[in-house]
Amino acid sequence: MENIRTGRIWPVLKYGAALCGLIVLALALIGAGRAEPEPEVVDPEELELDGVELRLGVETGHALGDPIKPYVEEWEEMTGASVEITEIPFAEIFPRFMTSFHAGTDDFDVVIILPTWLGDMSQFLVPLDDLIEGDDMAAWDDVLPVCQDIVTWQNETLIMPLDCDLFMSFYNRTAFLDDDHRAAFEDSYGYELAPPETWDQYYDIAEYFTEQDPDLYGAMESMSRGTQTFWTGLSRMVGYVSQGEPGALFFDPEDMTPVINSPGHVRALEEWVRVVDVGAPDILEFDVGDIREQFPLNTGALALDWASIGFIPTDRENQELIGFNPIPGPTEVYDHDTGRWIELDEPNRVPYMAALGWGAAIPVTSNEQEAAWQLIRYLSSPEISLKLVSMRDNYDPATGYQPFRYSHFENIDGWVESEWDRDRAEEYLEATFESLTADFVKPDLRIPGAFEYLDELDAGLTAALAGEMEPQEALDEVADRWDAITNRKGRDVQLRLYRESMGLE
Amino acid sequence: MQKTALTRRTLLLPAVVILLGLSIFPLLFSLALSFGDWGLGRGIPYEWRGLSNYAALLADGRYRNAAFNTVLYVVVTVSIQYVLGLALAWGLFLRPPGGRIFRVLFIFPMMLAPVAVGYMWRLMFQSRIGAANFFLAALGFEPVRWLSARWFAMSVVMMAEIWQWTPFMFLFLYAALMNVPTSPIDAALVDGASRFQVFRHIVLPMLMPISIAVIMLRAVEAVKILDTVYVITHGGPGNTTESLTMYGYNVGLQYFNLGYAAAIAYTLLLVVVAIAIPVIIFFKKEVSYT
Repeated sequence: MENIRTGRIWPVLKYGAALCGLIVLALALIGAGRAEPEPEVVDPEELELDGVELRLGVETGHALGDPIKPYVEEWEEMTGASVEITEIPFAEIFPRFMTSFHAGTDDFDVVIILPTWLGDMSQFLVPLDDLIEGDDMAAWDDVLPVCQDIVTWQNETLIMPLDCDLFMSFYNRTAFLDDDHRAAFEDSYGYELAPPETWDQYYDIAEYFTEQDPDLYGAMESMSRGTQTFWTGLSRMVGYVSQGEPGALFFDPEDMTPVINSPGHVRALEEWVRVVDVGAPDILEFDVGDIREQFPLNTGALALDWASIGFIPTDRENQELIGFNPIPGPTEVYDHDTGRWIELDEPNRVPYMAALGWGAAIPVTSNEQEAAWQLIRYLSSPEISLKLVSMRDNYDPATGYQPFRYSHFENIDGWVESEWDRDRAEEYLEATFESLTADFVKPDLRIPGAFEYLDELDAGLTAALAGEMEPQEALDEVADRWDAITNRKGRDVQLRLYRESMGLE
Repeated sequence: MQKTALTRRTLLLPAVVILLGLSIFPLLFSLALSFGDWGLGRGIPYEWRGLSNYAALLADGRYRNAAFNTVLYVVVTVSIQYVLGLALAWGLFLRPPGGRIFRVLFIFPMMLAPVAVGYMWRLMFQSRIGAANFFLAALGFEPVRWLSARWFAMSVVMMAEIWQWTPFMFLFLYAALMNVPTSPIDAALVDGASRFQVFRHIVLPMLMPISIAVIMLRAVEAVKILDTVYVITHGGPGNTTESLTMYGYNVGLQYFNLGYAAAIAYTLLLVVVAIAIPVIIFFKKEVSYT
């Protein structure tokens, strides 16, 4: 047999390979010299991502991990890529991502995170502005302005929204429409049984049902340590201390002095502590997961939660049960400037964007940033995100994704297609939209160390709720620890970033 | 001869390098870290701060509370583990019927992961659906807020620790009992000593060295308590049940204040050394007597 190296074919192969190499080099040079192409809408079905492996990190369970899985699988089938999902419990998700970011390891291509952590995470995430711009599937103009603002940090969009968080109150419609309860409540309290507008009414109703109905617990709220209790607390406090002015909830925007132990905050906590006696018997061990599992079983009269509880029952039956109501408020508000309480004609119901809303981001360490963006834009697209927020393919008792696009609020048919009763969908969307577009919807804390500040608040609140400390004592301690954190991180830097995050600079 | 020594050193070198890299370097690095701060991954270089981290610990109420809780966890759980372990070992030493089965059953808890044990005990003491309040109600008692009141929550953590680690004590003490010489015991029994007297005056003194060793080993482990506290109470309500290790974990890996976390870890190391040194001295004396 003729040796290939000595035969006639060898020169052809040799010069052919050299020619191919030159062509590839020329193409590469031409490609390098070209301007960046305009982003174009690519249908996921036309993408060829065969063999690409993405790693996605998300909170575990019913609320966040499970609901996205059907759409991730759909995207995998369409593109040929594969996605390995890592689910992490809430208390661990921030440290897990931050450990990876700090160490500079390439652990994730997509992370589903909260904007409240942007102060710490911003430098580790890829800015998305160029990708979003002109991308029809990302449909940025369809996102509510308030939900756009929260994912932006120092003029860069770092997160693509999958959610826009808001705390709401919920009531047991069946119980509230019961004639016997209505008559008995009015006899006892002198006013009509209706969804509470004030915290006093909220307490009265919880007390009434706790005493009168052995099958219903008066209230369900998150109160245990390490389970996001601080967000319930802040949602209650905000109406006592703010009528929309920035900086009244966390720090004085002039010098970063904590205001968390102001008379307004303390009163809010004192009134919250009273709820322990009229809530579920194990309310001090409740986290939001317990509320979402138990409230739809007709076991509670009132609940506080994100609109995540705005679910429909898993069997899609008895949708009459859950009533939606913007969060109640106090009839007095504490004025930090004068140090006095101001009496109000109407309850001060300030919508609070607790946690701000989960969204998807790309770590700078990812080697598959293009594919990661393709997955993110698909999940956040109007079509898929509508399915996410309306629980189209979700038969778990909750979703952590709430409406954030105009189209979510306009496309009622989409919710009906997800088996919602039209009336319930309209009521839910109206209550949510009203809060998200209110004049002074209050955003969450978004500065470096937000996780630590809020964890310290969690400790103070849970200690007071459990009766281990007096509310004033607990919040004084929180204020001291907040001051220590601010000093450690640098007061000037924190002050500047706080003012920026509050829109004061 | 020289060649042999060189060969020996060369063969030892990989082990020495690994030891230096995995054990000595982190120890020295974290010691340096405890005297400063370092913004890992944020491009912030190491900054020397002298004793400021240690000074801050003295003024830190959360640290003091965690240290107090840790001491309490160690003292209560290790003492009860020892007493129960010894009782079980002595009980089985007397060869009751079914002793072999019990011997295996007794060591089961030790084989479980502490996190699983934590979840199990948390479920048992959950106020509404937990077995503990179910039985209390059956006996006519009011339900107890096991997980949301400080001292009850701490007692649940302690019970979980005692349940899991008593077998450790049992295992060592039983093995020691099996090796106790029988002639002094037989002699005492012939002389009319009761079983309690035999245990108190003959067996217990003979078990002292091993008792001290297992107490020390358990104490050193118990000082590092984290998993059960984390799962059962998450340190709550407030930070009232937090242990020192859990506080260090929060500071280091949740707040990323690495210098302060290293300082906490080193105070923990001091506690462990403080426990260990007297025991080592005691052992040296024991060895010299024998």
